[in-house]
Amino acid sequence: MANCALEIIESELGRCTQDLLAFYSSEPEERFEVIASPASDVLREFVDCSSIGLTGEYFKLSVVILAPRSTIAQFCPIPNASTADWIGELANQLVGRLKNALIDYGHEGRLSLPVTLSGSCIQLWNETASPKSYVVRTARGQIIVRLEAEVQPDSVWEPCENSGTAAEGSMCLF
Amino acid sequence: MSATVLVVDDSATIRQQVGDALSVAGLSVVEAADGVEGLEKILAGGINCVVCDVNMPKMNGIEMVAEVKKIESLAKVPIIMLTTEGAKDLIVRAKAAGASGWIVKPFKPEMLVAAVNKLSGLA
Repeated sequence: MANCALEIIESELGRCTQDLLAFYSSEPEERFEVIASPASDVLREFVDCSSIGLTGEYFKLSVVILAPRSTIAQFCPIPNASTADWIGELANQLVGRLKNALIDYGHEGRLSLPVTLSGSCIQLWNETASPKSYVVRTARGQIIVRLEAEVQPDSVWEPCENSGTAAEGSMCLF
Repeated sequence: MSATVLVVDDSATIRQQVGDALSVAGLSVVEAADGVEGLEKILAGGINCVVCDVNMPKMNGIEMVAEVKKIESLAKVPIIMLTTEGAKDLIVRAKAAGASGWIVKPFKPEMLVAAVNKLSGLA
């Protein structure tokens, strides 16, 4: 069941990445290529990088997002904002989406606060045997989204109806 | 006189984005970067409505709501949670703590302004 769970997590992360970047793209018609990639995860340019964890009873995962500042700035709603701050918020919103998606498979988790750093020649080291990387190619540069996940082998991951999760962009007043 | 809205979020970019949306709508904005600072600003007075993140350092948004609602004179200040979280149990906890609404990021500025105006009695 663990392999199935990893496939679900990877697939949902790819979808969440696509949807989040589409929302914040300054080009409404922009198309993204989200490619599962065995890339070496080294960007030699000056990049901003943020990592955030999500831990549930039967799984733990971390997601790292990194990209050159010029690319991140293109997805920021505020001109001249701190790209280091914004990539932390993007990581938060990305893993928040993933968390909400996994609730629909019966698994709740807790988000950590994002940890953000900036630098050049940043290389990501593997904590698990098979990290999954997505390279998002846009017209204005590439963004790397890196997932490391561990799932308890006997856990059950099946779509559940009526999880009651509030959708992104939704509002309810009490 | 316009209403004053306190925006509590650990992301400076989100605070600015929310602040810009509210300012364009004619509202005054005060900022705080976490629940502790948010609570201090509310206690200082003059706040008509609060827009607050959930996951923040020092004190999270739901804890901040609970602290505000303990203070009788502030109990009626509406607090809208603006967060990436969509889990039902968190929404229920926020409502029980005294929150007035829940918006899941990313947000549309017009939706946020409408909610603030409605809860502040300006709509």
